[in-house]
Amino acid sequence: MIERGDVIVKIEGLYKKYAKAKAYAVTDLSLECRAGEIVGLIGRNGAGKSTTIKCLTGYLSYEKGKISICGRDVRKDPVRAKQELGYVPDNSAVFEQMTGAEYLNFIADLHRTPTGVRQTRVRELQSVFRLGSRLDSMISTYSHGMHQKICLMASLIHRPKLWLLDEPITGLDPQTAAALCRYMVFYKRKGNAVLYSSHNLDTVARTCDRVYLINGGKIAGHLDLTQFPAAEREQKLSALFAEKVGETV
Amino acid sequence: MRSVFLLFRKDILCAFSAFRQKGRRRDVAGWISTILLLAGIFAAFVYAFYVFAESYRSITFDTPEAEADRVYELLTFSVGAVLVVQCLIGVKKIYDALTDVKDQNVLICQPVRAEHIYLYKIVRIYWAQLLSAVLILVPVAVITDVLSGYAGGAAYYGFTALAVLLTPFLSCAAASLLAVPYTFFMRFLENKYLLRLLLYILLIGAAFWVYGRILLVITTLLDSGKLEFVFELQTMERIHAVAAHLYPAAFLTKAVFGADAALNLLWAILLCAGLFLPAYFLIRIFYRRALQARLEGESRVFRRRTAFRRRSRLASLLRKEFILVLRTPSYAFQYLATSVTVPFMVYQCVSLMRAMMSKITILDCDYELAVFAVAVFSIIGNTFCTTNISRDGRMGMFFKTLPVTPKEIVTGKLLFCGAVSVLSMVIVAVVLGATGLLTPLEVTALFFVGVIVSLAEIAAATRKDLSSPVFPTQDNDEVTDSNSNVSLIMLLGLLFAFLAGAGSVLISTLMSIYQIGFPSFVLSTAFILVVAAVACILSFVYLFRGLDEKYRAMEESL
Repeated sequence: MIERGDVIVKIEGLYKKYAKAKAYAVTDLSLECRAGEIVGLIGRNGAGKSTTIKCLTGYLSYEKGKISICGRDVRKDPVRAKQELGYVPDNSAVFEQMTGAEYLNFIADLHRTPTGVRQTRVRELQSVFRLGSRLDSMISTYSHGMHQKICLMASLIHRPKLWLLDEPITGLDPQTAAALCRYMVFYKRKGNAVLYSSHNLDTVARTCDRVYLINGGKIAGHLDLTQFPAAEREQKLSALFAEKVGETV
Repeated sequence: MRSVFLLFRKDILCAFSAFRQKGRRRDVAGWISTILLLAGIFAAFVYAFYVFAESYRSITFDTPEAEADRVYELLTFSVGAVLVVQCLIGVKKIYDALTDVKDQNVLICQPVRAEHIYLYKIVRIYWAQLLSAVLILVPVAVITDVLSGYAGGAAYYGFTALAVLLTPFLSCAAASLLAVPYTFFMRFLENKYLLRLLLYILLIGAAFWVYGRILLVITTLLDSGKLEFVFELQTMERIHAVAAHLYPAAFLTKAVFGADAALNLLWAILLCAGLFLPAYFLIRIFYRRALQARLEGESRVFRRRTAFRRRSRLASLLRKEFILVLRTPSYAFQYLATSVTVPFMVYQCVSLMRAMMSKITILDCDYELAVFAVAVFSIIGNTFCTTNISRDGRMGMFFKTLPVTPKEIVTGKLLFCGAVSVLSMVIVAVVLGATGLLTPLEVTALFFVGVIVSLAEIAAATRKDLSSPVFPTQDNDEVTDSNSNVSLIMLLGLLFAFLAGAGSVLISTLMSIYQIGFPSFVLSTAFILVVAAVACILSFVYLFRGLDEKYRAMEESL
């Protein structure tokens, strides 16, 4: 049983090099994320945020290091580790020829989610992300924002302990973006961990408890936002960005 | 017009971008197998046409001047067939250009006029069709020249070149006009998946029927050695009358044979212009509207209520495969419709080979021939499985983040393809049994051989795709281009089918020659079953050995 404060994600000494690249995309990267907190990954384009997230999900293999989700090694026990994970990719990958409901059912089947749980979850998530009757329409007819919404719903259908999101705000309308931020906070209060990457420092400042700044594939800085009043958080983040990356935001 | 040239420059840059990437792995084996396959098909076509043309020319009914008529008919019908086929392909290509978003969502935002985009698309289609026209019509013209001894010389080949240049023009022009009603028809079919599948089955069935008629001519030729038994005097008179008025092909053929060459060529050019002008203006009006509708997703929305209830992982993966193939028109056509209609192709092929063998030997080897045909057609049908992994598109990689093992993913695909193959083999068995070609025992053995060969190919093709997947990069994640995996697997499969089929025929023949008092059926079945089982076991070992590592490393192939 996982308690609030227990480590959900632990990355130790991660090294990742792409097949055709000369340099490492991620070098000696370590971080952790605990139950009941939201952790943000920030950094410039190509800093290594998405690569780190993809290594964490098993999407990418990695050269060196250890990654565990809820104490389960992603390499040695991948299926059980991924059962605790809900992932929203940055490319909105879905099966376009399925209806939204068929897709949610399919993902729930892979997670072996009981019928009752998935019905409750769909109702709950529908009220947050508001896909309405479009859930019965083919995904290929969805807009970009709706694609993102179905990915968000699919990532939560099995009540994962870790909710992992790669650039989740991109393509969402302001209302849905706000609803997503509120839901992230709601979800962490239920004792789960949320880890996401973003370029939007304002959103990160409003939602995250801790932030890792990644630059050149390494952790360049770490900030515990809970130590600052809400009004100062964005300013602190900007200062960290300017100091470590050498650019003002 | 500058924008049209810029669009072509973009195409050339895109086409050669792969060659400019440093360190890119070259798939030499794939390229070689593709070239070999195409060269084999081309050589078979040229040889078959030569044999047919030689026999057809001899249908003179003792009037020597009829030879010239036969040669004229051959060329006219060849040009006509090329025109019809190219027109049908052109309609599909223009429809794709009108409705497929691909690069158009970028182009429509640029200061490029709709008619220039259309012109650029149609010129691309023209070049592709010109290449096929050269590959078909040039050998046909050379063969007709050689057979007829027509002393046209430079003029003959000069007009042939003009005819080859004009043929794709005519087909593109006609296709441009037909593309508009076709677009409306396809919109009617949108989201009617089962109706579409049924139409595909009927279409392929009709194509096989035509193929069967052609085979009938060939078998008669083989039986009698003369085509006159098929083409009687009355039939030939009708054929000649049709050929004389088969415009626009007749314009081109008459020009090639020097009959009012300039006038006939002028008529062909005028016809081209007459078709292109209305097509140009029609598409000019229609193009942007159709494209805009597509970009805005203005399509009939497919709706289906789904009950949220639990299935096993495997059942869910299997269902996913079925939905994806059924709801993607090109996949439904390539796999489901083909698998259902392949049995009729097998039947036609066995009938033909039976006639061929009866000329060579008095031995009864219907069963062995059926084995060969089943092996060949199951290989061709299951080549679709070389996209088993790539078909998942972006979800292919996303699967790696889900709690499902590579073994479960692959098993789902094997079960789906296996089920389609079993269905196909059941129809083969029913058709061959019902027509009396084979005994019930032979039909049963044939069914198992077909299923084992199919499973062997499905497993090998899936692993080949897993090793080097070609994930589609378009928005709808549809695999549209053929790749080297397809030709390599098909070539190896056909080689296997040939060796296994030839082996069983050889066994049967040797047993008859040496009068071994043992039913040849038992031994040839044992041989083919052992060979197929070994191939199947090897394929499954190839698929499942190191599967986890290969699956984990899949990103490297991207």
